[in-house]
Amino acid sequence: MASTSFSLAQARGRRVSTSILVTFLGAVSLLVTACGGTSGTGNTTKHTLTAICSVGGSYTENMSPFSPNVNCGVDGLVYENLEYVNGINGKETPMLGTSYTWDSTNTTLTFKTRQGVKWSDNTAFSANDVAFTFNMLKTYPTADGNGLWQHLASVAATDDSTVVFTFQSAFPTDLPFIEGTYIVPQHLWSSIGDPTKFVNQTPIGTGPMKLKNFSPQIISYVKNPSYWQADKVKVDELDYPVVSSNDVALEKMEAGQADWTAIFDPAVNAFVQKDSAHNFSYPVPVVPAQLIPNLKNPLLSQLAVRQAISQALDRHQMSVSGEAGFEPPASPTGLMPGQEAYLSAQYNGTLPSFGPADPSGAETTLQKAGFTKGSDGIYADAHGNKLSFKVTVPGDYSDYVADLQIAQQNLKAAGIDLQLNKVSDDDFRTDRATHNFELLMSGGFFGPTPYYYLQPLLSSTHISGANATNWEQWSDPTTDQLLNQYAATSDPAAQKQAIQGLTDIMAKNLPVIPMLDAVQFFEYTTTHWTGWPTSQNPYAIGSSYQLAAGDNEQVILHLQPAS
Amino acid sequence: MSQSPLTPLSPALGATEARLPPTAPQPGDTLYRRGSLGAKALAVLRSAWRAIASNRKVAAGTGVIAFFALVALLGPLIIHQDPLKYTLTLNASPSAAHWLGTNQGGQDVFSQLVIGTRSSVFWAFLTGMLVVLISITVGLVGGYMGGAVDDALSLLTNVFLVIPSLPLAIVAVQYFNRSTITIAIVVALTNWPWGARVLRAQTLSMRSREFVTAARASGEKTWRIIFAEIFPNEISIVAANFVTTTIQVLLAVAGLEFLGFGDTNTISWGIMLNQAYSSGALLTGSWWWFAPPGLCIALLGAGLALLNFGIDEVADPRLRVRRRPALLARKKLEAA
Amino acid sequence: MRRLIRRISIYLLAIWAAVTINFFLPRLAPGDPAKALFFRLSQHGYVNPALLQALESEFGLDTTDPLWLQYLKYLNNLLHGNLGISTSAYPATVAQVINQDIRWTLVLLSISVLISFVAGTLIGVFMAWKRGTALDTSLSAIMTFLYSILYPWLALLVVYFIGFKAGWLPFSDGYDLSLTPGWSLDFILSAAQHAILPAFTIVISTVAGWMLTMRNSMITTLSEDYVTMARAKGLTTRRVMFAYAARNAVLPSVTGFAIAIGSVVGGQLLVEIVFSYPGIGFALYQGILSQDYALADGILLLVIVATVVMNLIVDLLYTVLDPRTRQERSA
Repeated sequence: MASTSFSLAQARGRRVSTSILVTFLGAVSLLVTACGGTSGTGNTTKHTLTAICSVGGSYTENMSPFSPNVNCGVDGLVYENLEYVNGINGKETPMLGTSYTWDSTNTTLTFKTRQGVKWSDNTAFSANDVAFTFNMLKTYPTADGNGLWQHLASVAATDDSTVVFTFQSAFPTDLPFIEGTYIVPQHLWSSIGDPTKFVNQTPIGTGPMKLKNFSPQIISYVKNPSYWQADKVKVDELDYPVVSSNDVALEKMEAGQADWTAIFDPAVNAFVQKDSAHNFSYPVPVVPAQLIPNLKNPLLSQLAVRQAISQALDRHQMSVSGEAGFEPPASPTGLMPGQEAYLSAQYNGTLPSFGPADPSGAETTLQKAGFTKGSDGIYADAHGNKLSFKVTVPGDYSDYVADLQIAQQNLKAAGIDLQLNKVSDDDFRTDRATHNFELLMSGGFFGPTPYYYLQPLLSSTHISGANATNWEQWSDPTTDQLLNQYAATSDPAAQKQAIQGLTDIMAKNLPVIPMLDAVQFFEYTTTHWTGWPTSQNPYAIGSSYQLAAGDNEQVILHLQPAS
Repeated sequence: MSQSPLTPLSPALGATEARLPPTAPQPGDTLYRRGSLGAKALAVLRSAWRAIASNRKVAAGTGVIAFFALVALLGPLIIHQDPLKYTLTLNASPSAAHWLGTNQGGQDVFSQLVIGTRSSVFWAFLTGMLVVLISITVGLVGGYMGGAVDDALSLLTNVFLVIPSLPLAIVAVQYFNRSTITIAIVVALTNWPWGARVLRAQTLSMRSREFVTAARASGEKTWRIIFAEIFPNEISIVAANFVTTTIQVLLAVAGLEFLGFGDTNTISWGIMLNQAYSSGALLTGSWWWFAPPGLCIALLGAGLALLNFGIDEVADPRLRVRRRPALLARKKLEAA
Repeated sequence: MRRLIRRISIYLLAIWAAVTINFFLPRLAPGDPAKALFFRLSQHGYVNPALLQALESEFGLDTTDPLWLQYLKYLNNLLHGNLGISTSAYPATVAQVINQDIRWTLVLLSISVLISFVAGTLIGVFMAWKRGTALDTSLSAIMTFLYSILYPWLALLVVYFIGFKAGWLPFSDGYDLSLTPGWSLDFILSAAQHAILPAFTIVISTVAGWMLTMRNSMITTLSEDYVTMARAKGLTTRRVMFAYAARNAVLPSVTGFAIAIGSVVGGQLLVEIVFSYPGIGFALYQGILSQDYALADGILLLVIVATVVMNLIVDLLYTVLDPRTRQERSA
């Protein structure tokens, strides 16, 4: 029950967003959108933005930012967080917090909070609200979706504009989660009980929008006149109509009845082509979709086998036929475009790629490692153990299934047998966390730096336990040491160095086999609104559903009515 | 689960009940004689052939079914392409190279349609048989045994008759891993009651017939009386029931596959529909992807329905079309 | 009367059976629901194991009660209208979700079933009258085809050709979302307009069944002695058709109506999905997509209860239409 921040990006599934979303945040809603339209008579023109942020059935009212099924628009637009961290380049923008400092031991974090901010009921905002919010997470661990209180010792406001976070030991990597927590008003929330179950029918926040009306079919917000940078907000009204399917969402976008969405659907290409002057799609790669080998499997634990599998994959075909061209082939380093700064010097600032499918190269790799081809065309080791694997995948994720069917064809050409084991989402997650698979296709966690992807995936501390995320069971002292090096410092240069070491391990040892770059989908039209994030100006991840805390707020601050 | 709304009341079944008096062969009819199952089956086959030859509906229905059965059998011999093979030719409209175009993954739709026929037809018939098997067991045992056994079984039948089968199947199937076998079992377990009810009524009427009494007197085992004596005499009703059931089952399986419960390691008409629907085929205008599978389902279903209506007409002469009977009647009236 | 009591007890049993299946299915199915829930939550980040226990108890997964006690508690909850918590709309309950959507389904269902039944029956009477003509033959052929059509496929075609391509009518949502739901004329007109295509689809795919049944039933009835008698008396054709033949011929259709209602409801669920109609069918689909078992189960129970109630209504109607049922028949 995530307060939001960055979390697991895994797969998108059946057409859209349904699965993806859920995966990301637990926010119920998937897509956010805005659509626009201008209405008005005479000299007062009202600018309305219409967003499609979830594809599914009717809304149920959940206006608490700590509800696992929070409604669109609550996160970031009604309630704000301390600092916005851009998920593409890690850039920070002060919001309710204006600055922060770590002490020399990295155990005390001091935030200055913004002055002159008011809740939309005109009560003044202060550092006490921040301290209250974090202490509420301690009282209700259900709401503490990032497990901050595993590391925190105390949170207290020392004056009206200063909050001090004291950690049990050095924990600078918790910073993005603190920055991303939505702050709620103490004067209204001190008696509401469990914030994950609080319906919050009249949400009072500090953000740019306030609730106008909730109905199961449409949620409407209007501009909050007491917002601390209200002059930047040109959106007078923001509507989130319920949209039942991707088809309907795109149809509304084409008809100009919606301005903003985030859906995964092959038909997005057709949508862009229909009016390429106004219709745009800007998917942002966030984390690799990868083939996770079970390293306790005697065959998959051999580097040569993992290398051969990787060599044989036709990532281009997966990208085109399996993912409708939205997801580019992944880099062996596991880094995303935009994270080139974390590459080691050998790459000259260019993300390395896997290159085209090379079945004969894969065969050579296998032969060198002592595998021989059997009469059935499948390689086996000296003891006759065949290279025949089952790959576990959620049956609902139609694009993953397509990718793996392509992988099946690719691997067959290299003498490796692959069988798809399609399971329910629940079984998939259970199998993944309990290492009950041979191969498995999955995304991963991500955050403002590659550390938030690599640490859960590779740290030996995450192999066992209820929250296991080192699914492949990679256990390597060098890796752990590099991860600790990163976590122990708040110095960006030292952190960078640690990540370079980690990405080298990724590329050389293939603890997992990256396939494609999973993206955050984002579609918009410029018919009514301009100023959207673009690849030239990636000021935020554009998706209409909230991914990293504060993305949507940044978009609202940048939008201008089309002339 | 029929999606066909009226299946239970379909003319076939409705009429089956209604026609019991006229059709039920009387003692002395050839069908009622004791005899081996084989001989009975042969007799049924012979009369089936006569029906095909004499009734246009039966002939047309049989033709359609035979066509799809042939495609199911021989399809994989005609299509040499892997229907699941991904290519880079996406969403192509029909052409000489791809008779029904390609889908979102660049897969050939015509190959999928032909190869998918096997799975759709095979599972429809297999599941249909499973349903009929359950119906026969419950219906015959209940009808013959009477008493507490019958009370219990017909209560069970009536209860399941009321429970809507499609929603029940949807909810049941979601708990298990996606596979065609799961679907088949769930569909079978939710569709048997109507057939059981019809067969029970028929068995009830046969229980006191001479040949049954005779068998009982000669000390034959109960299960033998039920399945070797009574059952052969109900083959024609079972056959009619099988045909209607197969329509229901065809639609039920396709409906569940449409909802995404199908096994996408294989291909079938319902799975094609699901993939087309969930990949935005409507929005991209790929009618060649979503129209053909549904058309095949409707055609095969119509073939089965024709056969069924034809059987009714053969069995109940009143249903046979006469030339302008109304006019004749009016003339009579005028004459009077 | 005895027949009615008998029927009612069957209906009560049906509800009980459905409830029982609903209780046991999740427990028979493979997989550990507690674990599944745990990992579902951990998708979103770290989960405090203590929290897990709290949630387990909330979802009723932590119990050490013997099965029979769990079952009794489950029944007790149902009796109090407590269908559990919807995981996809948490903390909303299943009852709240259903309550939001049910009215859409009810309105659409009753209108389309009524149209379909009346139209199908009338056409059936007409065709029986014209049997043997080219009209009868061609209508029969068309109806045979419609009879075997897959609801969602027809819905796809209607959405594509009438909605997308021609743009004649709205093909998604229950009303124009810019309107506020209420008893305003605008809203009602909009809701009616949005219901046309889904209703049309349901009518088209169900009308064939009523029609073919009625046609055959009429033809059979027309050869009865009392009909011949009526004709001989020189009554007008219309009187013979409706007052004598149709009145009796409609009885099998009415019985069929009760039985068919269940499958019509099932079909409507599929139609709602394609038309994104805000009813319980669409909610069921969303529940399945997000593995919200409690929601799916709750909707199933509701559908079963609704079907049973409709059956009961039809039974009452039948008793009125056919006095014979008051005495006879135990089959």
